[in-house]
Amino acid sequence: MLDRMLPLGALVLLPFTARLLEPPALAQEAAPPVPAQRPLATLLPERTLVAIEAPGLAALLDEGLEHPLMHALAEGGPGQLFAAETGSTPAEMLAAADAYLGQPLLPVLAELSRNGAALGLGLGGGELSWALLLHAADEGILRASLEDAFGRLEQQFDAPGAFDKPHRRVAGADVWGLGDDVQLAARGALFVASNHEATLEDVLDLAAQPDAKGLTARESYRDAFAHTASAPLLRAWVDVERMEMLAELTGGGGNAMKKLRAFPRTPEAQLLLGPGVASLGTADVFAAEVDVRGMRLDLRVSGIGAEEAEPLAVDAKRALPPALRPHDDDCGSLLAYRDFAAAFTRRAELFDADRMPGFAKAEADLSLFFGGADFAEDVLPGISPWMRVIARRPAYDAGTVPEIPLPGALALLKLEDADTMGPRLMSAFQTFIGAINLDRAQKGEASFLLALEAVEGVQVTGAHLPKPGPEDGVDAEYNLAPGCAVVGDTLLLATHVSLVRDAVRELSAGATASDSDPVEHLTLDGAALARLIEDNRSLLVMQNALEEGNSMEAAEAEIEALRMLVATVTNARMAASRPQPDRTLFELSLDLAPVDAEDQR
Amino acid sequence: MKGRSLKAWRPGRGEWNRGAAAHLLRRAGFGASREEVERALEAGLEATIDDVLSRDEHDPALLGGARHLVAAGNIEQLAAWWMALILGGGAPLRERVTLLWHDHFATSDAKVDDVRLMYRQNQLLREHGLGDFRQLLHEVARDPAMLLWLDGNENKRGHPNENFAREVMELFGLGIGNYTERDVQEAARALTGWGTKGRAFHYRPAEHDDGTKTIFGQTGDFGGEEAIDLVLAHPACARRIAARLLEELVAPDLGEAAIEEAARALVDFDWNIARTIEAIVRSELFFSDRARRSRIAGPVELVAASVRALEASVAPADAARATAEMGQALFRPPSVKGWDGGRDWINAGTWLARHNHLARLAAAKGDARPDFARAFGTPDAARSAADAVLTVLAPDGCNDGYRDAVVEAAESCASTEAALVLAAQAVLTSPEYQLT
Repeated sequence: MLDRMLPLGALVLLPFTARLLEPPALAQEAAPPVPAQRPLATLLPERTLVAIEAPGLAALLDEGLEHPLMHALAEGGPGQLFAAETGSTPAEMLAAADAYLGQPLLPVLAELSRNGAALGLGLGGGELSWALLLHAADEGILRASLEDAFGRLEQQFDAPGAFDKPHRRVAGADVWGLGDDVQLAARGALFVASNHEATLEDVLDLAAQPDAKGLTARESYRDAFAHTASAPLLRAWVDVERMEMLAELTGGGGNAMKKLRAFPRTPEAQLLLGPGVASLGTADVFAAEVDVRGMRLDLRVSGIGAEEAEPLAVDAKRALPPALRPHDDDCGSLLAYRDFAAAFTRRAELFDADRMPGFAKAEADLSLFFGGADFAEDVLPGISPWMRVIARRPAYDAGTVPEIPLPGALALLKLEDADTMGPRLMSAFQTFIGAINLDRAQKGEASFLLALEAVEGVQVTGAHLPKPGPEDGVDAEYNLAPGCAVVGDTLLLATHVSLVRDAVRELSAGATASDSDPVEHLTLDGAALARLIEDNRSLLVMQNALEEGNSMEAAEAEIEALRMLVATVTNARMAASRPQPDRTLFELSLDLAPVDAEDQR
Repeated sequence: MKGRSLKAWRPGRGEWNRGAAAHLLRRAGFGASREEVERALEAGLEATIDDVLSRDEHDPALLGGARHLVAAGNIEQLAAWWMALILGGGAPLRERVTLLWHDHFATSDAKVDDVRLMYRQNQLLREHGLGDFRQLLHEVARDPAMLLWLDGNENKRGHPNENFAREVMELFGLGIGNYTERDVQEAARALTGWGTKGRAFHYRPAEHDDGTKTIFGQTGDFGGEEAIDLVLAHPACARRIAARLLEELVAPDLGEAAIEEAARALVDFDWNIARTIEAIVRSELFFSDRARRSRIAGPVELVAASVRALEASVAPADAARATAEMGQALFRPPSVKGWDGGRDWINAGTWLARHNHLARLAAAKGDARPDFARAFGTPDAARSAADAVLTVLAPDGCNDGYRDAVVEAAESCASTEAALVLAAQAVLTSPEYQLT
């Protein structure tokens, strides 16, 4: 396969095919070396639209698959999924690459990127242009790699001597052309490849000027990474604003991009995605960093110049619902801010006029559940926009475990006038069940049975379907046995009354977890999600076979790989916040399980 | 026992050929690949028929997998599962008759609205579809999906609902002209009290009319079972079922003599459907010119046969969606009469769906790409590519004009592979290919 890849992927393979011990053989003029510590961003042209740098790549490659996180990825779920798709595990692929090269690939890559690696994307001649930069440990390593790669190319294309000498020299660097598509250059320990001649020359010119600033001359680039403490594994910078402008000027999907950028500013997007994530989409510049520490992988994306629409924006002063203690059966939890009250009361300024009839109808319909109370004026403002949702494997009544068991969801909402709102919402819950029953009765379906019970002195209202007959099976709808209660000033609303009971006990005992940080976030527990996949394995295998056309064996392998992939992540946390007035920060942290620990689950 | 029509076929030299083998595998299953046709030619007529009649080896994991789907309540997934059984080719004749009885005892999820019950009925048809027709009819009459479909729960003493009684005479057992309105009313009375409780058959004695009824001139205090027995004992019943089998396996409108003979065979074989089918597929009539390419293929048989012929890998869910677009949504027949079939399979909309699906199938890329080497061998030029395609997709032969058109299409291509794709598209989307 590597043989077939070479003509197309020559660029990627070229630098990796080194014989480290051989001396450099190509003729060259002396050029002042690029200092090892010089940031590669200073070599990227100022007009660059996307820059990806990998300052910490060599350190990771040094450890290779011995690095605990790399080991977990290669040997754990992701590796299994990769193997299910390609037929080879990452380790096998790597071994094949090593055999092809005649030496271990990862150490060569580490040496070639010892002083940094970067990729810049921009526009050149109206087309996408790219420039790949590798700053090797020393010139000898780079030259040996090039010689080896050129030798392979000459052999493959039956062109002996084609690369014996550089095809031209630019700013003290040797330059070779691979047809019209790609140009390669070497200057000291610096390797540059590009699909665009002018871009390549610009990079080499910058390399020849010790004080040139390149992309770092851009204020938005400097600002983006001003607070970065240490060199991360990867760093990316994206000039969204200029990309939009260029797309508009060149007609290259300018309208589509404009629409895409306009969407996060809409109230619909803010209600759907949340004000934090939506505002990220309005940023002029994205700055992202990926870092690896032990078994943790962190991604931080800053949206610089991000806007936040005031009426629906997070108001940190609004009351947070209490947090429950983590539970073994928790699949995940969400703390979200959705100001539906503001959306209703300020709808005229937020939404188009053609949405108003829909609001009026919703208001009228929903008011029916609240005994005629005005939904927008009397109900929504009494509920804090912060909501906490916990997804947990519920307890089922004996005999009614659904054949497709799904996680239940428990929502906790803070009431701002519990004395009025509590009874009103409890009553609305019962009315709502009644309305569902009316609809089910019209279809000849069994009705939900309402039940009241006292738990720790708190009245819990629940509803459940009657127990199915012995021949009837337990359908997926038995995943719904909704419940509702008010504890103090907290409304509990769940798909399963058992979740409400548990929460009532915990809140009544006053032993809640301490999570009072008003930041929208989502956490997921890989082990619990993997158990969920396990619970539904047979169904998922069948669905995979039918939808993907896989054999049952292949479908089984894919679902197992998916389960392992999910189990690899012990904990995932996503959060969106506004650390500065013009900046939205999106953070993703993944804690991966060591392969051995994962096997034991 | 057998008269002229069902006289066993004794092929002369060269008559057991690619066209005959492909015809057998199309009608008694869902078509065949080049390799399967060649295997049949090598094995000979008798061995191939024996194999067609006896092959019953569904992948157990796939066959049993439906029970995981039904709890989700998605009828489209169940349709995909059935399509997987059809495409899998583990039991072609069994699936062919299951589809036949699904059309004959047409029950739609559009009204039943219960995937579990549709699955149970499907299993019932699969289990009894090649067995004793009398047992099949009795089982269908007590099937909860059928009872919901034809309002069994509304059929009560004093207020009989005639839906099932009417259809058991008009469609399932006898055919129009073989019963009176009075027979329907009386049979409905006999069936009062038959309904469902939960998802099970449930007899409610209090709702049963235990008075005297007269059905087909016979009088007694008949219950539901006796009423169905009376339908089965009616001379028209065997004819009706024989006609249905002949229409499906041989050709429509074969005439009274052939139907009478097949009906006699059905009764002589103690209503065993498999043995009656065996007599039909071994007959001269089955292999006659009158039978070959004599009817328009239904969407399910068209899609399945095309996938098998092209050695394509199509996701069952996609195949089921394609047949629905062509007018045959499994588990959702349009009425209790089933699909009208015949010329009604083709209209402006369904023709477009057929054309687009078959053209896409031949030109699919990636995982869904047909295995042309297995399907057609490895021709080395455009003309031989066209010949290879015609051999597989038009095994009965074709006229010169048709052949020239396919060759011309192939020769317009820059590569042999492109020639195979274009030639296959030309044949698959031709009107002639729509005939089975």
